[in-house]
Amino acid sequence: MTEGPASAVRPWDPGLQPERTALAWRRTGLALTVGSLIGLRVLPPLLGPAAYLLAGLGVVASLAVLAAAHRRYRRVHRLLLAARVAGRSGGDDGDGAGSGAGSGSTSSPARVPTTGGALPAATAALALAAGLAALVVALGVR
Amino acid sequence: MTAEDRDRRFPRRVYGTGQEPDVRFSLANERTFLAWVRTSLALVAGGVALEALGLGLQPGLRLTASLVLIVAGIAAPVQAWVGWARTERALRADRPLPSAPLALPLGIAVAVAGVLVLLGVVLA
Repeated sequence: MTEGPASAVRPWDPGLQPERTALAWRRTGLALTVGSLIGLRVLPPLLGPAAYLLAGLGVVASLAVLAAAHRRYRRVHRLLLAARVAGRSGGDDGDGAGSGAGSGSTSSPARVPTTGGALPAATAALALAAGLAALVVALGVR
Repeated sequence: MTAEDRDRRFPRRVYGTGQEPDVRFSLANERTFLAWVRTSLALVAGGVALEALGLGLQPGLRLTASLVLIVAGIAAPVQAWVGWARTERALRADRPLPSAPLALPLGIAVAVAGVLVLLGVVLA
């Protein structure tokens, strides 16, 4: 509502935690993508045509993780800024109009439910699948 | 909206208890999870590279080292997920954070793989 230019630019957290987390997701997603692409090269001689499907699924899933992580960051960013605006309804330190009016749960913008466990679960499962595929490669199962 | 949001989040075992922690703690927990996932990928990549490149090592030792790394790389995502869930639960309950039970075994596995590669070089 009273979100001025300053509050739109100023990050929610001076430690840039959401941004660092977004970058960590990006590193991980890219590593998964590269791993899947290597699987696309390495697996077919061992597993036959089915390997293209398997590794292709890996590539698609990794790209989906990257996309989901991006949306996740946007969501966290939006929720946190919204909580800040709601918490102190005057926006930045400026005008005294309505400052201190916001109380209750919204006055603590840090305690906003933002992230969930679905994307981490999918990511861990993907890494596990990559490990199992690597086991097949190492053992050279035909 | 908040309560409804919490209800829908997966997994229930984590979000069904306690209170919403400071979001910065949740984000830090998430980054730790991601660091474990990347560790897993690095272990797996190392194991595959060892077998794929050969490097003139003694074959039996090389395969053993490769398998040790890959098995560690399979265990790491389990630590990533279980550790994330347990830490998030502890944060929500305002309890002390859990340790990472698989950290020591994984460290030992990496050391063992290193010794095997060393022996593989010496005995080649």
